[in-house]
Amino acid sequence: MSTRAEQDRLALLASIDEITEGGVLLGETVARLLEFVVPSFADVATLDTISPSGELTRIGSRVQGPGREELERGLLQRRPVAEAPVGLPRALSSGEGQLIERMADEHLRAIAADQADYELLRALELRSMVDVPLLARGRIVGALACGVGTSGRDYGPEDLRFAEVLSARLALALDNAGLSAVVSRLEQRLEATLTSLAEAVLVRDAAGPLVFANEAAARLLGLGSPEAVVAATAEELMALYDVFDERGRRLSLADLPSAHAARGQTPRPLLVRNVIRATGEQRWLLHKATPVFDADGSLSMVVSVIEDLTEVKRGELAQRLLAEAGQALSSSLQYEEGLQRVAELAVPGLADWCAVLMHGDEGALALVAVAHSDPEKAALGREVGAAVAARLGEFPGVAAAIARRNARVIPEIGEELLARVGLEGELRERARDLRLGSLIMVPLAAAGQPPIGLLALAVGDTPRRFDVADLVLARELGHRAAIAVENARLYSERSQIASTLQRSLLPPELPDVPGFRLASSYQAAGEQNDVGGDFYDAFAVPRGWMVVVGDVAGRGAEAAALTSLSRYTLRTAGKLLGDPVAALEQLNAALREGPGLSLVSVCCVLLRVAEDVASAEVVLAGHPPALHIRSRTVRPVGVFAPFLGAYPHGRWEAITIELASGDQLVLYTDGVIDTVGEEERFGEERLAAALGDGESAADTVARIERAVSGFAYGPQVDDTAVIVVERAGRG
Amino acid sequence: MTALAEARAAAGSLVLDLREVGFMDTSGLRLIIEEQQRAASGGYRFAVVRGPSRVQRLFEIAGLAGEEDLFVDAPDQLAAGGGD
Repeated sequence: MSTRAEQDRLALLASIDEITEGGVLLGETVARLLEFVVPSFADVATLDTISPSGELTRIGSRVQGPGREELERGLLQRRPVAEAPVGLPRALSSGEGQLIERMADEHLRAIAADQADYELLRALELRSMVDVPLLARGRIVGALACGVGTSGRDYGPEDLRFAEVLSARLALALDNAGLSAVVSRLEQRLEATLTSLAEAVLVRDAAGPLVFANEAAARLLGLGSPEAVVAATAEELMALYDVFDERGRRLSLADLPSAHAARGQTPRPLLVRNVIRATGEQRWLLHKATPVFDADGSLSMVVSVIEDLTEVKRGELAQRLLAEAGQALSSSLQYEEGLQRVAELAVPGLADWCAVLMHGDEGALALVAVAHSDPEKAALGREVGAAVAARLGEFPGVAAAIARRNARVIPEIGEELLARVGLEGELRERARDLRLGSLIMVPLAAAGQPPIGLLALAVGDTPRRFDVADLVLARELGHRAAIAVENARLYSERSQIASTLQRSLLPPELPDVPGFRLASSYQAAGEQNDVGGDFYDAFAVPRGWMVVVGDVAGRGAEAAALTSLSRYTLRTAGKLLGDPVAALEQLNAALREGPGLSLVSVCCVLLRVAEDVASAEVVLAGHPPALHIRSRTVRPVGVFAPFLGAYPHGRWEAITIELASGDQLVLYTDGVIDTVGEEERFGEERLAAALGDGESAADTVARIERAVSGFAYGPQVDDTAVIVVERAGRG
Repeated sequence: MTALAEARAAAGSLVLDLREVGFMDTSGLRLIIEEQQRAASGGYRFAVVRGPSRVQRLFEIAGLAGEEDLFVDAPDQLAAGGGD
């Protein structure tokens, strides 16, 4: 072999090394490889790859000389005959290179699949051929076929050896190119994705060490660069943070999704509060981790994606906190309960500790609420807080800041402060045990109102650090709490007024009516401060006693006024006229004088005892009948007639019944029969059924109350008034 | 009662059909009595189609069950009956 040819071959091998390192795409690699082979080593060359299942795929062909394009196309489409005893098939089946020094017609016949194939092979004018398998990583990955003819060269054993060296290089090049094609496609896609991701991505090797981290990971974890992240072990990384779940429970490395994924599990995402120990910077991070398995099913790596939900979480937290606080404050009539609930809502999302203090009557602060996510700590905090509260104003600047409706931030609670607020001995020890860090105090103040106290938020034994957003949220919370407290105070004042007014509408207690026993029940519906429309009364009149039950349509102040008018008009008219019908006519006239339509329903009963015979004269006006109970039998009494106030002139009619000893007469308002049950209203039938066994007036009232409350479903919608008259026997 | 007011303005008569009413209390009756009086002074006709027995019981208690002028059997009866 000439020196020149040898140099060409060395150059060829070197060239193949070059493209091996280039990591270019497969198709391009093949073309370039063949360019190196033809013409420097061969006149004709083809390259095949073989899949793990043994399938041969021709990936390239190159021919030099006349008609090359057509020949190349023909060779590219050619499928070698698998069972041929020579050439390429033989090289593949034996794993050894094949040399045909002198191509004969019989060789072509053996190799050719059919006549057309034979023609194609003949057209190549081959004189010699070498066919070598491509071995990579111990496996045949393809084959190289080279032939010479048109250039007048022949192949000898030396050429076969060279072809084998060449094939080893080619195999390596192809293997690398093939792998790098796959890898680079993945990498390109991954890199493009990862760099553009706001999420932190960490890839951990199955063995444990981090092999990849992106910029976002470095940023989120508070480290300078992805390299710094990768350089740290998981334990080292974890030591940089305090990690908590949403409920404030401290988490360890083993609790994180990446640890589960490292055991081959597919964990659920976990939201954690991550506090960087060095700076106190707090972030809400959503940890997701996925195990990645090799083809053989063993764990290859763990990919962790960490999403920064701090802003989302903070907004959500603020909204939820304010919404829930609003609800807690408005649903509780006792504002102290509401404030305690607010404090509980604020931990651990906003702070480790939350306390509410309010000015007492003498202006000193008193602790009304304390919360910590750990109940034991909360108890400890309550003890210390109660002792400190009165002197909290002595914290530097606190009193002045609160009075000016400003917030006060104390960065560090040190020994000096503990001493200044008068904590000594054991209590100081306990205060130290609370390990309070920084403290925010905001005024409890509604707009335009002087502050009524303060809301304090503190950091406990976590390196949390308050920032401006926390302060803004705390101020808003303090503002809302103050409004709620003011409202609750107004509400309780108003409900006090209302209950006073309601009481004025009812007799303080039922009078003793000789010969009768009276019992009554009154249940006001709904809110305490909503003065209602039912009333009852019992009073002496010239010929006996009058007992009245009535109902005024509507609620509130107007209804209260009407109730008052009705009760006193009936009382006055009854006392003066002594006749129920006349009394009702009087009230009707009074109601007609007023503006608008004022409707009142009344059941008015005149009780009399004459010569030991008791009687009841019953008059109804828009009212359900009275119920007469005798020997467990219930009978309605009364003539239906219009509401008072409905028409200028009435036609109210009295019915008189005799009341024997033990007889009872039940007067009630429609709130009783209209009581809402799960499916229907209580109704007159159920009322009658509840009455039969009543032993006495008081027993009957109790039975009605029991039956109604047992039946009622949901909140009471209407007042109910019941009065029962029992004939007490002689005397 | 804006719906009632509109209905009143639209026609010379108003019929309140209570057949599908499941529950009514005195506040409902109050509206009917108001309407009855407004119709009397306003020169239009007002009637009610009786509701279920539970609702009708209320008219009974209010002493209105016997007022034949207040009730019609069907919503179109006032118009068909001519009225004024």
